[in-house]
Amino acid sequence: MSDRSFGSRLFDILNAAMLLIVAMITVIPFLFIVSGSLTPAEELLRKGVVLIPSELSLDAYRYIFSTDALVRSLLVTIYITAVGTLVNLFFTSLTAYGLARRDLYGRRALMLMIIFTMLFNGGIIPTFLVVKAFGLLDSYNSLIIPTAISAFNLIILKNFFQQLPDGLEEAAKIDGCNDFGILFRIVLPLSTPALATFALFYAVGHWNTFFSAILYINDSAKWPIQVLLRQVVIMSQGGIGDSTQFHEQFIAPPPQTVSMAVIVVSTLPILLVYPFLQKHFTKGLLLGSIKG
Amino acid sequence: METHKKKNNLMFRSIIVLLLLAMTAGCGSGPSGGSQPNAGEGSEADDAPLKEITVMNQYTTPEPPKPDNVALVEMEKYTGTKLNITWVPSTAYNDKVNVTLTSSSLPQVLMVIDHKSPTMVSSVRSGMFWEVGPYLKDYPNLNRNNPEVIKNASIDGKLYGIYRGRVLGRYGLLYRKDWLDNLGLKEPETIDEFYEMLKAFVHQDPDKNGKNDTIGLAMDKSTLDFKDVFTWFGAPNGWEYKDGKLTPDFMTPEYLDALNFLRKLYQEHLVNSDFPVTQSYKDLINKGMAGAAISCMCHALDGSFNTLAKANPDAVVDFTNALKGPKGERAAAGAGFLGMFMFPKTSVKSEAELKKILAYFDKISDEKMSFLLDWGIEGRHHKIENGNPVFIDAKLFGDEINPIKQMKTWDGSSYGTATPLARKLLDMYAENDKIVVHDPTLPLISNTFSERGNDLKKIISDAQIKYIFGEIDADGWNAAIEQWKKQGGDKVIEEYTEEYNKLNK
Repeated sequence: MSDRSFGSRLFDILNAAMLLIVAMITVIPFLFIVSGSLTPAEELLRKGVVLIPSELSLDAYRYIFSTDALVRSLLVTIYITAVGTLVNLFFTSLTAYGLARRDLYGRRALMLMIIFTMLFNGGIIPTFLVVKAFGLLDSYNSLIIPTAISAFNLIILKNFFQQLPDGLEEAAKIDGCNDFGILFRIVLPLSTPALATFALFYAVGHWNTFFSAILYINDSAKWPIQVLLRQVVIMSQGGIGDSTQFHEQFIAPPPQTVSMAVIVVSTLPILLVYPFLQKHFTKGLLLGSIKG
Repeated sequence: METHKKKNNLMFRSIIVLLLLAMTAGCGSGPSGGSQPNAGEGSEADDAPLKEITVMNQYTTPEPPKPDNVALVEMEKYTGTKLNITWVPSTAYNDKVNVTLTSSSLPQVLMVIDHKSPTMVSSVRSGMFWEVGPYLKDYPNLNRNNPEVIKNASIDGKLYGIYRGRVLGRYGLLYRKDWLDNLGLKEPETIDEFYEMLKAFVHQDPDKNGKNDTIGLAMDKSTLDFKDVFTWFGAPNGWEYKDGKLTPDFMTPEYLDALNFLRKLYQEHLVNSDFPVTQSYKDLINKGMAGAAISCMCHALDGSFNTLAKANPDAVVDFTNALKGPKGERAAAGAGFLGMFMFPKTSVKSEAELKKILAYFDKISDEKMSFLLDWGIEGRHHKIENGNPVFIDAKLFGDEINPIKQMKTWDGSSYGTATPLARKLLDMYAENDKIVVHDPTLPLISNTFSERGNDLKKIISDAQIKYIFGEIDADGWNAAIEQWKKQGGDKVIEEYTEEYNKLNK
């Protein structure tokens, strides 16, 4: 270590310190929520901010799991995230691969149409009418099919596919592979970093589904967890305006600990997906595949 | 390259075919607005009740009521009509209503909270809803005889739905009675007595714990939105009609008097100094730190201060309706209703059907059903003691029956007559009814206000907070008023005055 100059080491130390501070700033609010959900309600009300609870209390969790609403909406969200992301990846990669091929007829026209949708959107009402016309109302498909392909992700993936050397495909063709074979056995395995990234984007988007669920789904059994979360959090902060507007008798709004517990339960699963996708963010997969 | 060309050709042709198919599919189905929701199967007999009514309503609990909810079952047994309710979370209700309005799949009964929003107003003016006003006199439980409230709920002078009535004057002064007793004081009746009470709360250790750690008046970020403090000082409620035009309350000298009073309270540390960012004054009361608040008197009875009661069983929260100011006793009237049941013409297709739906509402607004929704089922939620209902399982009531109260057409805000405090609440409401001051702009619509109302309000609310803090003085206040006028306030005054004259000529 003595061959590194003092200036270089100082820089490293300062760098690490800065990053540590930024990391703390990011983590501490979340820590606050987690520990807040584990403190008894009275203590939280008294102290306001609790980083380390003096006594652990699972009351908030018991409260939210006492009805099956939370579990059901959590399962709904897991379902639409899992299925939705698979649908997303499948269709996005199919379309991107097709558009990446230079010999596709009408490629330019199709790309223009796709970019057009990125800039202009029908709006809430026309989109609602379209979804309704397809008979998707009140079903999980209304949350999966209309958003099956994100134009932005599509363009990035297409560019990624275009960067793969032609030699690979030609070699595969010589070996008798058809187009689908090339896509699934060569191109996609080489694109795991891109696919992992998009999987994450899509999954988080699906996990946060709130507004589309309110719009398209009337059956409360089919609502994802964000609907429940928003209702609990806003109500526990005293509701919109004075809660007497709704004249609720004997419903003290759920204490802050409950809204924190709901936040933890609805964030933790998607948070845990990140480490599993981390290993796919490696690079250098193409090294050695094309020689000369 | 031969195969390549053939493939290309095939590609080309299949794209064309697909595009053609897509176009014809789009044209074929046509507007599917034909799908009406299950319009209640109107039975053949003329006075038989409808089999089913579709409703859209909001819920404020974490999860919506289930279809087998005991109150709904009872209502169905009583009326012979099943309610098919689409429950929408209150936090997303206005958005959902807007989408539903334009989607042509409306329920027969649509509960609308903000009937003066631009979308609602234009829908009403385009003839989308039945005008219900003239029919109400045939239904004893729906017949409203409060002309002010009817005016408030009307658009262009006509009533387009059944409004959900509320007590007019629910606000008053809440205070810790045990603290008053500890200090040998009595309930304040005038503003000066109120001031003395706050001073005593702060300086004379009312909770007898040896420390001067108590706050007089607990305010939070929404306290100043409620006009009661200002009406006590003689200011109008929101707006007043004077000298041929409508003037906003903050342009009156009485409003400034009220601000001066609040400034005095702030400077003498009689209110919590961070009130503009305090989420809810209830926290301060529940922590046992504050002795007074200005809010709905119902909070003393609805469980808002249960935390305080648990921590300190000797604490007593009492209330009084209004404090006497320079112009006597005044209170600010609310709108008198919250939300309206409206009936779209696309789903309620005939006058006969409308009348049956009105008859349904009439039936569920009678005494028996009102009692059911106020107290639940005997033996399950409440029991009768000395002729008065008393809750045995308030939490169960809160979970099961309370959300169904969204279907009520009148909410007396009553907690029964079992305790003296509950009886006092009803007395205070009745007193307020006599002294309330109405906001004349409630029935009026001003386009500038709908567009820029929030920004304009912010100018004034920021200025009044600064004034209370002492950061600006009377000149700064007047400058803020001028800014309000310039940024659209003058136009709002003009529009409201014009509408007012039209309505009241």
